[in-house]
Amino acid sequence: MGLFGKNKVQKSLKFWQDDLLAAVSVSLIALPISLALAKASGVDPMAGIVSTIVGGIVMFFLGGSNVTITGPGYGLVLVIFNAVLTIGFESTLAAISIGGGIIFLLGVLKFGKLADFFPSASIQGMLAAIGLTLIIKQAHYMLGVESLSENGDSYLTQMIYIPQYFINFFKDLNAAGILGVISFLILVNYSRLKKGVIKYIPAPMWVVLIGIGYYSYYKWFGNISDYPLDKSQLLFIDLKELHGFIVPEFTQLNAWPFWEVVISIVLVGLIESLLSIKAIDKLDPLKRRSNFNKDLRALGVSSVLASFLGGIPVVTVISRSSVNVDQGAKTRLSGLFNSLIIIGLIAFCVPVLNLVPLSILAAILVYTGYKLSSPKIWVKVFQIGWEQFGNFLLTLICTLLFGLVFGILIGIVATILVQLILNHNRHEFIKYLVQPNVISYTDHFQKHVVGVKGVSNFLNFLRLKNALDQISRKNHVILDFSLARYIDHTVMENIRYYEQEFKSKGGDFEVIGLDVHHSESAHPLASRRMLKIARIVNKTTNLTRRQQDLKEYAKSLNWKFAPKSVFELPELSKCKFFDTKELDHAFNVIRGFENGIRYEQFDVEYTKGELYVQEKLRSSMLLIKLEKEIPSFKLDKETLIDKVIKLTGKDDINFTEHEEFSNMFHLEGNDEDLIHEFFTDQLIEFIEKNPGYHVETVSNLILIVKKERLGSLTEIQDMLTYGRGLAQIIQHNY
Amino acid sequence: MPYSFIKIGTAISFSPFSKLILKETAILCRRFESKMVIIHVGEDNELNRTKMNGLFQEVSLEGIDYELVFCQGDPVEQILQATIDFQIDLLVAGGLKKERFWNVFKASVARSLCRRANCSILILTEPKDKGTRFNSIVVNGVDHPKTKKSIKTAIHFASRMQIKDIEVIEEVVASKVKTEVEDDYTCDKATKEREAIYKEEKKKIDAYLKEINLPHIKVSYNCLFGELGYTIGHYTEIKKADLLVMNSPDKELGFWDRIFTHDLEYLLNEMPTNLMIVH
Repeated sequence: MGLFGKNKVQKSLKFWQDDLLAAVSVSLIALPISLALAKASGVDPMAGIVSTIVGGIVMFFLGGSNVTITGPGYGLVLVIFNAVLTIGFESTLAAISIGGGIIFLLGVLKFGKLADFFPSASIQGMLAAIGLTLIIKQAHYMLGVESLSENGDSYLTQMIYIPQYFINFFKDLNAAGILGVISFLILVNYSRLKKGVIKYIPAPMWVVLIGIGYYSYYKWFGNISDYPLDKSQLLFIDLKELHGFIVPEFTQLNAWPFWEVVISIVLVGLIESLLSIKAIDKLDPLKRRSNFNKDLRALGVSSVLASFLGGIPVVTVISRSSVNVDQGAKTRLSGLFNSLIIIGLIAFCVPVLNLVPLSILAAILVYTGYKLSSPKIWVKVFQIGWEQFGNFLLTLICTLLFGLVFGILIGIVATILVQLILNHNRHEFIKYLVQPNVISYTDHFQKHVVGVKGVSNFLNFLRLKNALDQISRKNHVILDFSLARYIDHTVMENIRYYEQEFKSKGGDFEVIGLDVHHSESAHPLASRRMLKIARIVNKTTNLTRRQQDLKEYAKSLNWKFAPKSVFELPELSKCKFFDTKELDHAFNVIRGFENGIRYEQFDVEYTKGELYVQEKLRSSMLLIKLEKEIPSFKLDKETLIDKVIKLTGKDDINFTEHEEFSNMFHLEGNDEDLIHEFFTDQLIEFIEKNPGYHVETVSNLILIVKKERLGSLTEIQDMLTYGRGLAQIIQHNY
Repeated sequence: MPYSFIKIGTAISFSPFSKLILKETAILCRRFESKMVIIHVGEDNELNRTKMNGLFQEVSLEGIDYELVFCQGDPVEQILQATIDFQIDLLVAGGLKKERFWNVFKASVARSLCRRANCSILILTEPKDKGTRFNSIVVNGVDHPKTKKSIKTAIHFASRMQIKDIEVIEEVVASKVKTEVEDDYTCDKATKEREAIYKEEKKKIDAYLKEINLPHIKVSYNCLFGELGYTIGHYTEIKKADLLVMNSPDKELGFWDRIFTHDLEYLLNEMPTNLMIVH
């Protein structure tokens, strides 16, 4: 099957409508972010656009992942910025193309798994440092004030200037700064503002539109000469200046600064890309597994091509990919569409884009930086354990002081030292670096058992990873840690990833033998050591007001109430609702039986998106288990976007005799005839009376969700009344 | 009985550990109706003989045809010589589960015997006063001419010791699967390849079992992909089997084999359980 095999093309084209719609949303984010990242990297804004376009096109033909989006990444902004200052633009392009070549080679040599070799806390520290540097470098642009930093100031000294920028800003308010601050506030609060029309346009595009609107206001309603921003404060793209084909300058091949740039590009590009691919893989709506090595090869090719066109390195980017999945993309076609749309926007909208104030682009980056280094991340790492936090802090500070390459190296060395101290048996620690410690076999019940012995840490995780990767994601895996003495946080975190990965793709993943280990903190991902005597932890629970109410309510129904978290939710994870979301746990469970029907009401915590566009959501849901199987369908209130989708030819299931119902609700399902038969007049009437619920069915389960937040007691009662009514009608009729 | 042990030998000193080993050997001798050769590396004098006899009284060697051999010099050399001189079929010795780190340079007696012996050898890691109760055996089924004999010996041992649970574990080098897993497609391909190898190897083992023809003993089979020697040890530990039966090494193992651990050395480095090496 070749690149253009008939099957492949058909497969890609099958979902072209979904992909096109997703690409529209993605391009609205990709355009401003690419401009901002390139501007912050100290190169022409078009360099960012070039990377996005090249990335999308190359990945479509050569890529190995399905719903990821590529383009300029935040991780490399500072690397490129410093490189342009020290070795010049043409040499930086040379470094990018050599870096791209190395990434390509790593893909050819199948070294994609190398990214797992870094301790997780160090990676977190490095990302936080990148976030901080973004803030340090962009804060004064956002506030429209003069930079105070002098050449040779370290990032730590520059950090001290930030409060001064704010003081200067408030002393002498300026229009650019106010626009920047407003944009920042919009970006921070976007998830709260997301209602009605606002949610169809992503936040970065909104702030860009505000910038353009501000200019238009002066142009059409006021006096254009009063416009307070001068040309230097606006974005400047000049298509005439586009160089076309640029030959990078390979003259500094014998100088260390050049190679430091190359190493940074490879290191950060690799880590950022692979982290993103891994995170997005869990959200793939069609449950495919990405080919990491193929993706690396394609990224390498993209970077080389981009560098010859004057672009910056191409990496897989998580926020844009996450939006892509969220908006319903199914194949790589959405990346290609994204590139084409951006080409169109650039071809026709440059005059408009040139009205965007730079302070707004800076605000987008400050927000990204804030997300990467937000206090939440610090708290999370601290909760995992002091040794992880120490490492995080050390890597962060060293990255700020000595740059990325040395920062991460120091982080690795420190992790090894800490683990050596924590391990009683140092000889074993060294022994399992070189000797095998993992076996994998299929037992007589067709379950895949993977056993780990001795010390399992980031240094030898590759062996465990290899074993797990050999197993098809649809299988049942049992991971046995009972012979392991020490398991570090990096392994625990990766295990968590595999657990989600297997569960999201239809398999199962159980971890056994961890109960005899002592962990550094109560966090589920903390590193574990084996102790001679297992500790038994007693947890006392205090019920909140809402929980007490729920308990009373359950009692009045004569049903059971359990406030404790449940992590094993096989039935719930079957539901389509969680296909692009990640189910975390359910709590406050109310459970009862009635006429052979089981009702289970709970609060569910789940996440949407990945990494710094990740949203943690909690909803109250009702799961009903019927005695018989019913046809699978998904029922929602029809929204504006559904009407748009209809225009592309994708139709929902309608009933000629119930026009109002068909207009009000969007119904999706596989077997149209069965669904027609299933929706009796009585059922339709009942649903019409109670709009506002999302209802979906899988085999004999009905899932009912109302809002993406926890319900109050009355809402929960209403939901249950609705569910009971629905279940009874179905039970009666079907 | 072609695979019976006519003479079982053991080397002992006067330590409490040796006493337990002697007891275990006595139990084996009764079960297999074999002669016993007791080797003591030390001076052949009156004192030692009385001490030995005292020990025999304690352990009670009644009904066993035994002979006591004294030899002097390097323990390993002397014991090896004795196994040849007295045509010993099975040598029983005790060994610690883990070899100490510095023993890389100077191996313990039991380990040295394993590496160099010309007869079958049984290393008991936890000899018990009332005799080890063997419940399950794991036998290696690696693709090698010696394997057939190992399986036969193990089954014979099992039938004499009334062990019901035998598992033949075939280790296949992981690199024998040519496909490298990168995505769903390659994963399926690799799985199919592994299944094909599994079927092929199972046929061979089934043929061996048919030849041995001891139908009342149930033998199960599994095929593990991984590093030779290591995988089976780890598996035995997970399964909590009481005896691991392995082929003898093809050549005498030396210092460099200990540094670059491979095959049998993994098991000698850290014994998962009692170990029998069949010659």
